[in-house]
Amino acid sequence: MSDGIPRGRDGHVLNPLWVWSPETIEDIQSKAELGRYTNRGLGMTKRPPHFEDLTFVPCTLSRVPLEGYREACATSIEIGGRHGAKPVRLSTPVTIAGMSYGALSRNAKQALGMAATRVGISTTTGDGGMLDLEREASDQLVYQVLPSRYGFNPHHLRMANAAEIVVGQGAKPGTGGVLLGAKVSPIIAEARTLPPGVDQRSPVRHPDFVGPDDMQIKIEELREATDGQIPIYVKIGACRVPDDVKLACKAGADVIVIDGMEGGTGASPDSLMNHTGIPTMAATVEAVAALREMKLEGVVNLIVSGGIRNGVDAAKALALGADAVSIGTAAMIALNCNRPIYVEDYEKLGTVPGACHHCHTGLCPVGITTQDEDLIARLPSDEAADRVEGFLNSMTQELQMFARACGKNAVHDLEPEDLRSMTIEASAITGIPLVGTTFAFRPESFAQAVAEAMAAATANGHKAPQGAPQ
Amino acid sequence: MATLTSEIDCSAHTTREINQAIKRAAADGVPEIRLTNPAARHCLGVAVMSPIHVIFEGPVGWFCGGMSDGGRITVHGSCGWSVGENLMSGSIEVHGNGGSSAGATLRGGRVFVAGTTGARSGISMKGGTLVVGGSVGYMSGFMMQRGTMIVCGDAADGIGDSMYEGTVYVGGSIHSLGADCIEAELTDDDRALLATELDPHGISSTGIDWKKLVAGKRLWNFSKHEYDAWRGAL
Repeated sequence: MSDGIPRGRDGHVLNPLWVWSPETIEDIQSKAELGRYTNRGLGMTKRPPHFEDLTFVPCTLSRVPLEGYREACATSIEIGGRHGAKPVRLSTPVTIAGMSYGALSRNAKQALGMAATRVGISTTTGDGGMLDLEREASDQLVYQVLPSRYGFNPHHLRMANAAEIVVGQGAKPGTGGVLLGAKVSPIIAEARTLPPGVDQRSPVRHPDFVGPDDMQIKIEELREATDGQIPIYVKIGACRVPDDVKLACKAGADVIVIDGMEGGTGASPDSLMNHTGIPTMAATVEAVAALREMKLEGVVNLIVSGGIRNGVDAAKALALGADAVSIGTAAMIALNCNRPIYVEDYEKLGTVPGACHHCHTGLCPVGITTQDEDLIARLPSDEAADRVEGFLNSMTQELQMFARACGKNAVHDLEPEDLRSMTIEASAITGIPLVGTTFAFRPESFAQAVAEAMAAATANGHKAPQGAPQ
Repeated sequence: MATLTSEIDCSAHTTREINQAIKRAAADGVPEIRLTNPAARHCLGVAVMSPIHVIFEGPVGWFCGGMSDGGRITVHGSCGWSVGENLMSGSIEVHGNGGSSAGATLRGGRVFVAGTTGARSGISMKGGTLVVGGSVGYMSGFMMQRGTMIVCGDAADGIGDSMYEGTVYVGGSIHSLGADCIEAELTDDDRALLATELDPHGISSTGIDWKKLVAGKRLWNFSKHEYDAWRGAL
């Protein structure tokens, strides 16, 4: 049969069990062979509630749009000035997320820096410290302070434009990093002070502080080390977002980066990526509400990351209240990740372009997530930077396009009223009315609807049920 | 050659003012600066990047001397957590007790604490030498990568857990070894090193039953055949 339905020899439809699906069977047998959980790169395989579930409602008769291609629409923002540091200036509200030299090749890191500089935004170091090439290529570089402190150097810190304390990562909050031995080349090993070829496991807790009160002192140390000249970011994997945002504000963060569960990684246990954290859309809503509650909206800047794919996702994040978005995987894809070239090398890894997440093997066919010299040579930095620059410019165009269509002359003027929810789930998460209704599926909306119905009934002479709220 | 000795009363200044005064003095070639009334304040002597002797006449708080490179810091008192955190080179001497995470992520230089330090001392060390005259707390030397830690007193549970490389010497009792931490044979070179490190502090290294701890390297690469070793590490 050629109808795509799996059938037995006699033609009857085979009906795989949902619990014991082919994927589950393969997972169990793979773990039985490995004797451990499975690792891979990139991100989650499930479909979470997503910005995709929101739609813009641009201007029509009730609002006046701006003329596309003609009327100005501002995109720039300064972030991190809360405590008097020199802010990071973004020409467009996008940043390149932290990705380590080690997980990524030097050409990839250099290309990201070059593209960020050309566009006028910042890029970020990662686990493994600051690469000279990256510093030279990047006008604005955010220096990550990670639990491992691999390659951490105070001289590099003082050369940075901001410092980012990484408390967690959206792809695997609550756990440390992994860099399998295949990628711990002699150069990477020396940069991280590790034996070459070792399966590097990064700690999850910072070595020199533990909780939020401690982090306040750590932030003070970073400010002392940099004479208060650079902003301090705190990056958090999205979990208990309201509490974490408030604690980071209290500890003195200038910028909070919330990384949703769609966030990427170079290598992580598969189960963590699919079963930890909350989606970026939900995290954005909670983070904005927490900042608002503390009266720090716009004072402590909010960057959201995790699965941001284009300027549309970015525009929706801004409409929900984020100051900027950060992209990691999208930037890698712009570099060439999963492009259908060197297809035979994808096949050697047992995968195909478009579905490759074999970053952890160190055998990236397109030279991005590898330390192999022959593979790195497949990614000339300048050409790769051109592609990332092009993609970043497309994001800016899309941001402006949606803002103008919504009648805004600045992308940061986008607001929740410019959106409608496409699903009840998205409405419940964001508080944005479901399309075709004026109703937001939030608990408070239900309470209000019930109260109004009861008030109307009472006005009509009906008595409220015993025990009902008055 | 400057011969001035500066003195600052910390009680009259903010932490930023004190640290900037230290940096200015170092840049001006002042060989020694004395700070009175530090009052256990946090983040003193952070990122001292030039040769200068900084003397605190009293207890200091967290992160004293953190991220420094090339200075010499003496504390006449105890210190809080994370003394000498990420020290690149130079030295820090604490003539009192230390808190937890003493010498965390040390990269170079020397940190000496005359008394006892807390949990996770020498955590993630990447080089340098940490000497503790007394005992160390739980999980000290955790994920140590390189360098030398000398503990003249006792080591609490989990010493040297998940070390990659580096060496830990313990003069007193060891409550328990951490995952993949093993005892190695003490050589004459080790005894010479201990004498070199301890003699300047007036501590005799002889007559002590030193134990030398190193990584067993069973956690370097995963093996399903050594699952017992990995049970607590994955």
